[in-house]
Amino acid sequence: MSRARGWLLSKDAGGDAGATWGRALVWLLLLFAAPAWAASEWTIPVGESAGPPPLDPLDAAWTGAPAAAVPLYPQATAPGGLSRAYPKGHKSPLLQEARVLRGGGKLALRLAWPDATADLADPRATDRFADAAAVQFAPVDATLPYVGMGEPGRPVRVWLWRAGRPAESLTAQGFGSLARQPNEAVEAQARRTATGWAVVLRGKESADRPAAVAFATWDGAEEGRAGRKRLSAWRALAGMEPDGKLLEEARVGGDPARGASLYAEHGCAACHTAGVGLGPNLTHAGGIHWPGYLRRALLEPTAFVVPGYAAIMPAPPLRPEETDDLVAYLLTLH
Amino acid sequence: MSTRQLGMVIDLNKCIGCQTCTLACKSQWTDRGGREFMYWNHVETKPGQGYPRRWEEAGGGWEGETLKPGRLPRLAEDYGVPADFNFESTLFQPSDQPLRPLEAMRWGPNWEEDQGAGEFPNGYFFYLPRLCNHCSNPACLAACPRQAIYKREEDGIVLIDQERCRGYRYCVAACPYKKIYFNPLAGKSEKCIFCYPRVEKGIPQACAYQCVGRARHVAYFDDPEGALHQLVNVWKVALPLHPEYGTQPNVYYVPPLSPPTFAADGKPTGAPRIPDDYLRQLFGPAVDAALDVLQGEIAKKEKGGESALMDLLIAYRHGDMFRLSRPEGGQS
Ligand code: SF4
Ligand code: SF4
Repeated sequence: MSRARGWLLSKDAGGDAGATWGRALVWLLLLFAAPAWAASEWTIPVGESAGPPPLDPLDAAWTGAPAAAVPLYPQATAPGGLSRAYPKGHKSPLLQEARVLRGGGKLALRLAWPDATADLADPRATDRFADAAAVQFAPVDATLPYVGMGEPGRPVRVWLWRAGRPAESLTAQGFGSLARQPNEAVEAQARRTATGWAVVLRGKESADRPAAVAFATWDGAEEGRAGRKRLSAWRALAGMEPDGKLLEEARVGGDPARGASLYAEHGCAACHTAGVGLGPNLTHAGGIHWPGYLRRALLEPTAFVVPGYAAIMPAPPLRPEETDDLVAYLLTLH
Repeated sequence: MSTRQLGMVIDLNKCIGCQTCTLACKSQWTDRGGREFMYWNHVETKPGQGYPRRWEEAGGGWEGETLKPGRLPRLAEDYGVPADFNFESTLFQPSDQPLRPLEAMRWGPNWEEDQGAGEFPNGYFFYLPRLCNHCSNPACLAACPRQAIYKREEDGIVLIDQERCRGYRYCVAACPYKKIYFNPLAGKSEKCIFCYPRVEKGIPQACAYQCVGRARHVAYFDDPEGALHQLVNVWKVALPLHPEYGTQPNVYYVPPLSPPTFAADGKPTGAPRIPDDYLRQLFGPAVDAALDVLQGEIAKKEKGGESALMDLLIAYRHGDMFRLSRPEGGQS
């Protein structure tokens, strides 16, 4: 039978301090892995300003503010579906300079980091992403939340700047839970520097003062958004945590070499290897995790499980000093 | 999978490419606020690159249990900028200039209208209206890291929660039909809502209700009298577009028949102008059987016989094409 019928017709017819940072500084920072922990490497100094700190990153007042160099590492873990973390090859840390000032009831952070191209939110583009930076705050608490956007019951506050869009104030309790806080005003001003961005984020110093901060940047040119970001470890805000317990946690006396043999003995790599995917990839564990978090993850592995992974890790049988050794080893992983 | 699933069947033998559906949708939902370039419903001419340009090569969908990577269409090159025209200088002032877009246009939703393929006298084309398929296994939903996309229990309509969306566009890349659009002004992704505010009142979707060709049937799958069950399950003449993408669409198409090709001597050959292979690429291997059934039923009707299938497809009464009764007491 012929199908040839129907109704169709035929076709007939500006200069910044960031500019001077070199590789040497990166290596210096990587020396954090040494067993003797100086508290300052896990803190960030807070300067006092007479009135509200300036919003303009180029304001002279910022030059006098104490600076900290913060390495940011590509996020290696992102749950579910498509690969949303950085593809392999994005390994090297990005060095950010952070300065904090408080005064006049306001808290402000000035972040400067290298980024060769300025990618702004473009009202005429559907396929481009904007550069962005965020500051994440942890409340004063005995335990710091998981650095990747907090965890259920341990929320974080977030100030977000996206190039070409108004700054946002948000909260999160884990991956995918980011929610706007429309009542909490946060302002931002950004400047291009010779090597990248300098951005000031400023908001009210709230009654529940933060104890620690962590940082993240997204590079629009790398289609950065969501988990495709670089992030830092928590840093205690110097002088803002009343009893100094957090910094106590940052002191790790263990021996990384002994920790390395324990890691091998207990077969940790069987799960924690990129590509195996049974446990989080630990490539940058020492770069993004607070020592206290690593200790908690060893002692109570199921107390918090990184989203996307099953709660299958048994608590390894470790003597207290062995836990310290293993934490010391994990802190060498960058 | 949702408890109930609303679906649509579009009869490609009846679509005349008038774009009434396109405009019914646009004037209702997408004529403002950064959506000007979006066509939640559009009608493209096949064969052709379509809208967005070369969407069939843009990836997305499923490979077994895994999402396939996809790329994001570009505004000017793949969707086409919504250009303004020189109305002021040509229509409201003395002028002999022709009416022209102010900005050079590079693509649009019906850019290749009526081009098709083949050489005279055997050229061919047909119209393919496209909208979100409100899939049963939506790749868009699976790709969203914020669970901002959800599928409604009561009718299977797939929606983006605008409060949760943060414009990451993993859904845009993941939808193999490229039926999610990023609104660059709002910074969020948007898509066809299957006219849910109308559907909740028992009123058919604007594209379906306005269709002058009586080409669009709307019904729930669990309605045994409905066109979806009848055409998809009983007669098996309505097929999903690109079933190999794995998303299990709920918009189905009655594939197009075509007139015979002519041989060099000018005699009709009996072979259809639209190559069977091309239709298999679009609708999968089941298209052969579907075309045979259609052919057989047409023949019956031509001989003065009865054909329930033809009566259903002809749609003597417009209102019979839409069966939207809902258990909560919506109108039927
Ligand atoms: S057609 Fe695309 S946008 Fe619509 S439900 Fe299916 S995968 Fe999602
Ligand atoms: S309104 Fe109907 S006939 Fe016209 S283009 Fe749309 S589907 Fe085809």
